[in-house]
Amino acid sequence: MKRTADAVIIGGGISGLSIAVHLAQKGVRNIVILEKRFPGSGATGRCGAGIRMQWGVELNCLLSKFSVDYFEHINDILKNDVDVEFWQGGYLIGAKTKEEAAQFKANVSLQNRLGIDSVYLSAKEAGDMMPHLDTSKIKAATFCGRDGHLNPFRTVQAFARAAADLGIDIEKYTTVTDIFSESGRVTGVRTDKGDILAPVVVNAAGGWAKAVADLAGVELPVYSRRHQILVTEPVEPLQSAMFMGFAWNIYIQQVPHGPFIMGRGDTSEPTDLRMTSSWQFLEQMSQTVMTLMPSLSRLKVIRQWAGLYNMTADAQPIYAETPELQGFYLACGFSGHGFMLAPATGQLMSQLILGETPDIDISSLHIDRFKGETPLPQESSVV
Amino acid sequence: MNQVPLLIIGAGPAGLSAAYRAAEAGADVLLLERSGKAGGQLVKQTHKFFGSEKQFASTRGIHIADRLTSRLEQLPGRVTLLTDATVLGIYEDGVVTADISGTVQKFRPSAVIVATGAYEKTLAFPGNDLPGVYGAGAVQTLMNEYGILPGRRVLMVGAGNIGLIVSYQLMQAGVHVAAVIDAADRIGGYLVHASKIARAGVPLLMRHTVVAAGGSEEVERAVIAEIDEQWQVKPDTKRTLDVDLICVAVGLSPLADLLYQAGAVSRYIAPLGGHVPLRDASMMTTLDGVYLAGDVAGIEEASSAMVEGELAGLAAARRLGFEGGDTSGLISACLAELRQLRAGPAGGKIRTGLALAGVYA
Amino acid sequence: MNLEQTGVASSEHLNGRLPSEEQKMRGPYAVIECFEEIPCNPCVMSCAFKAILPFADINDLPFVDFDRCTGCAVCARICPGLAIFIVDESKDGEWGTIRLPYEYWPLPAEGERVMALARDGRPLGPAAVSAVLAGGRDKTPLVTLAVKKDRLQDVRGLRFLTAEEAAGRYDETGMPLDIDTSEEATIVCRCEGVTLAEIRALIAAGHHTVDEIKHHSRAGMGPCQGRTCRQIIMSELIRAGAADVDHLDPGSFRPPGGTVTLGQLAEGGLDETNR
Repeated sequence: MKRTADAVIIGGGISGLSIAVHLAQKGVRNIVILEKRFPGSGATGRCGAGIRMQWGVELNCLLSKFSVDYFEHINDILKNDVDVEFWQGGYLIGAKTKEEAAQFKANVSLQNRLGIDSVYLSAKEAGDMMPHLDTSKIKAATFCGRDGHLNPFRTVQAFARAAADLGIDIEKYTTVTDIFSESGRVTGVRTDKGDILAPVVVNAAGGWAKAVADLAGVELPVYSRRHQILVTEPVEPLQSAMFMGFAWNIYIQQVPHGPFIMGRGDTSEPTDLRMTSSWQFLEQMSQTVMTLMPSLSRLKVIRQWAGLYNMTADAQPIYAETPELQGFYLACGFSGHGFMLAPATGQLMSQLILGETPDIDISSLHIDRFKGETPLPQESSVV
Repeated sequence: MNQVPLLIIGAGPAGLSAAYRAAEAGADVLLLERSGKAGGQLVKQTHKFFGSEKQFASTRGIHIADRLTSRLEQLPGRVTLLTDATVLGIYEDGVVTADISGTVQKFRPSAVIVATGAYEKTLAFPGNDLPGVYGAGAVQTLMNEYGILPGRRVLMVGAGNIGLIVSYQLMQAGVHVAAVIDAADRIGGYLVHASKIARAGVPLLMRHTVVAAGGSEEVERAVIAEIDEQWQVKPDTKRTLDVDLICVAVGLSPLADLLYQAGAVSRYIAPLGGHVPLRDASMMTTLDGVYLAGDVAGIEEASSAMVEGELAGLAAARRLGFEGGDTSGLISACLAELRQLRAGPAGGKIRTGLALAGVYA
Repeated sequence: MNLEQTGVASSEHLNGRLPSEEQKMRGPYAVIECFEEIPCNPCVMSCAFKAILPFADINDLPFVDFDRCTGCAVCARICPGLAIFIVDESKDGEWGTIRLPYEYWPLPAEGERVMALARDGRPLGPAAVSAVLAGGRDKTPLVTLAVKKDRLQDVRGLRFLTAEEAAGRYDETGMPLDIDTSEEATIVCRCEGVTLAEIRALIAAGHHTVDEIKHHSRAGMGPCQGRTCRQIIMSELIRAGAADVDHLDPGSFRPPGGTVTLGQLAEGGLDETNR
């Protein structure tokens, strides 16, 4: 393992990979990614891998729009041919109540203003689009055809391949045990395989971001909670769009090779690092699906699993250099959207680290926002 | 949510024996069996078993299943046996979910015994996905449970007890066994089984492997070859057998998925068949109150599976506060019986495996 | 070639297993061809004459006390290994009989001529069936053949004369090897159609755990949950020197333990008594 590096990225998930690749593309030569298992083994490889531009707050719209543009050209950008299976079948988002429908209408005008061509649909129009959806359960819906989902494993492979081509060193099965600093500056990390000295250390540890920050003595206002997913047997194509319903706490998609994938979290669950599965999830998720899509009743569930959401109070990420430790950067608190934001994360974090002006103004995503004066608008559109 | 004192998963020789001993000690037992009838693999065994009288030696497997099942009826009201009952999960809160004849039910047991048996290992060789390539268990199920002849001419891959026994059963059903091959340098199964099929003219070929299966829509032939000391095929030894069935009997591995999903600690111990959940002398896994018995605890014979089942049943009953009769005496007797069964040369492998697992002094 | 490779015992194995010439003349006797210590004792337990020497350990080998053995065949009918044969060469003349355990169907008829077989299945010549003792629930049928005395220790099996030649059916000469024996033609994960070539390429590329290979290839993500491929992938990892046997990680195991429909799951939660 290298003894020195220009930048050390802690976490080999999609965020860490994207940051490393963007830094390397901007000319940083000596980058090490430290991953305690293997790339994508954390939340990235466990997530639904959906991407949508339909948000209720402007910044999320801009970040995800950046990412959609990126994913549409990912092979050109990364200079490889890994098929990430970007399926742009759109997101159909259902509103349960009149109030929610009104909010959605406002969201669509915000989105349209920002160049996102989402549309507001009646329940009937939504039903035409997704015949197995029981439209009597929804008041209205919104749809954006450029939204969709990717294969998270393939996406990791595309970034990992690019990282290898760019000479980035990915250290698998390597655990960070300490973070060094000297007079307010980060100086390197200790791992179970040796020390690496580096002037830049990025915390992209996803669910474990708080534990990593603790090593640096930095207090991070995030917490983790498991979200669970189930996958069914593969069946013939039935559902092109991702369906999402905040009121029902569900997202459900059919991936290109046939299985349905559906997931949710449960805010009554404890906040810890468990990634076990529960029977309650299976039962409750099935009941929700039977409410919304009763014709899926004979679909067989073959597997369930869980991954960690790293949450912030406003459900928006933290992109920042820590005030108390120069050179120690944070890309965490994605609140369940780390996968879809990854291209933006890479671009904006690399610009932050290199002292460039970020393409999107992310000053409001600084960690300081939790200290009081200028709270961000709460993003309510979270499953 | 159904409260149950003791839930036993799997009604094979281990599970049935566990249910009997636990119920006899006073515990109420719910015994869940995935298939349509109790007995596990015993119901496919037409041959007579080894061992001693206590483990029903010289009784055909299918009759042992009957005896183990009917023995439970001597304990009226204590054991509830449900068939067509597939356990779906043992969850972190101790809840066990099961699909019982199409209905999902939930149980909150005070103790669990996992007696799920084993699954078959297989081999990677070209053509192994052609219809006509079967695991030995499937062949036994087709022949002995469903009465369906799986082929006319068979290549048996594996000369362990299962390969030998299934070869013999195929011969009894009128199937021509072209050869029994094994990569090892000696027959792995009991020699009396080997002699039985040798005297019918079936060649047993050690240090041989299956190179490929051929055929357009299904198996029409098999290529076998000798292997050298480095387990590599000797190129000039390839030959083609005219067979329509390739039966793979290359060993079993503990079927412990439920335990691993629940977080039980395992270790790879080759003599026990691969990854095996770690356990203590009372058959308890690293999960508190979750026991195991039979092949899921390490691949062995049905005789020891029954004794392990009894041991686990007694230990679980004791945990639940049932010391009825002479539980300690029975536990000692089980341990002595297991020691006996494993004492000889044929028990060397299991002794090594259990020593590696830290449960055989 | 010896017993451990072929299953065929040789004359040396019979040392100490046969009676003396004098004992042979007294009447029928049991020849027990059990040469491997396995945990099994029904023969000892079944003998009313205590003619099989008592075991100190269930793994002991059985030896016959020919002064006690009456050739009653109780042991031959009970032996799970079908390893006991009853020989009678006490009658005058050149013919004797051997009673063979026989578990095939149909049984030959008395008086029928069958082919007598050696321990390796070699045909030794036709022989007449002099008696047939049908099987019981757990009792093995016995077929008695009239055999010349000098072949009594060679005959250990029989088959119908009209049966196809059972020995040496394999064709060593000439079927064309038109079978694709490539790694690309070798399926490892049937659910997802992953080949051995893909698995080996991933291992060569540095993916040295079951879960990594699963992420890259989808091997193990199908409905069977890795029942087939997990073992093969682990063997490939070991074979390639990519994993340490003592710390072999089998990868993740995920519930549910069987397939179950969304409808069943939803309904299971609706029943109040099921909460």
